[in-house]
Amino acid sequence: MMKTVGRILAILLAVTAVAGATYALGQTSWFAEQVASRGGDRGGFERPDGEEFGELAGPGFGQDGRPERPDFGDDGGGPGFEGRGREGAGGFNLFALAAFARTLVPIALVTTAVVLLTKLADGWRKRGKTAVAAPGDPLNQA
Amino acid sequence: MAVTTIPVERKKKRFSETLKNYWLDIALFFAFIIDMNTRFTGLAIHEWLGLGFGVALIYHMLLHWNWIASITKRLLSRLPGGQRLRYLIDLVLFIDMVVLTITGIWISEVAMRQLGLSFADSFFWRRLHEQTADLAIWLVALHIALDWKWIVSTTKRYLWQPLTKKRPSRPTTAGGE
Repeated sequence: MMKTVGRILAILLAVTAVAGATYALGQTSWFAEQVASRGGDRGGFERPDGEEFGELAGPGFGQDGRPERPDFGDDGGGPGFEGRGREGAGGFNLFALAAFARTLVPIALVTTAVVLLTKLADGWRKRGKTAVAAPGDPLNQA
Repeated sequence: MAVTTIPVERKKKRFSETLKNYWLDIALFFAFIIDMNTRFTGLAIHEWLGLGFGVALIYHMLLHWNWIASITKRLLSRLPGGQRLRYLIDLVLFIDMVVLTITGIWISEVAMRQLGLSFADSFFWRRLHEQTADLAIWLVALHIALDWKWIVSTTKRYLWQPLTKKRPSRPTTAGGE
């Protein structure tokens, strides 16, 4: 029991270290610029108007002269558990299907590629081993 | 007598650990796929599922603690290249998942509000959340690919074999239907 608690604490310590480092990095304007300037909009989150990259790591919406939090249309009593949010009402539609594919296709591709490469490498290794292990083999006598 | 019972118990325990591990991995995979699709889940489910995913990841690490500890100890000494690569990918995946979960908590609009907590929202954390999510797809793919042999063998053992096992045919009574 104590062993498990110790292990959980060790994991939480590692989590805290990573979170702390992330927060500290987020405070540096260089890192904020690097993150903000990479990649396009995925359609999930909207960038608030009038926000400069240099102040991205700064305080939140509506603080220190920053623009107010954009209206995502989900306020008023607070969203519940019906899956309502900025992303719309949720549910299964073509966009959702495409987003599933966007996650599943890379996973399938990478898995297939790595498994094939591993099998090829194993095959080569085995072939090399059998060639070395069998001195009477005609392939080895050349 | 005692000599024969202990290995049986150990064997049983090991099997149950593997099974526990297997079902947790399946649950984590589906949770990841579903949680990555915010349009499908909506924001509230996305956030709560993400938090649950973070907790489940800690349990996943606990189940693999012996491997993590042994490889960490041998990291600077002799270690097969494959194990070293797997450790490196898992380490990057762990860091990515922590950043993904933490930034998710910081930009949370539903779950944290329901818990009575609030954090300073910023576009930077949103962008970092998106980018770590994109990276997580590739890292999870590599994580799965490197454990593919285990996945296939465990699926055969615990899913395929029980389903395809030939059941003993019922003895038919003479003259009966």
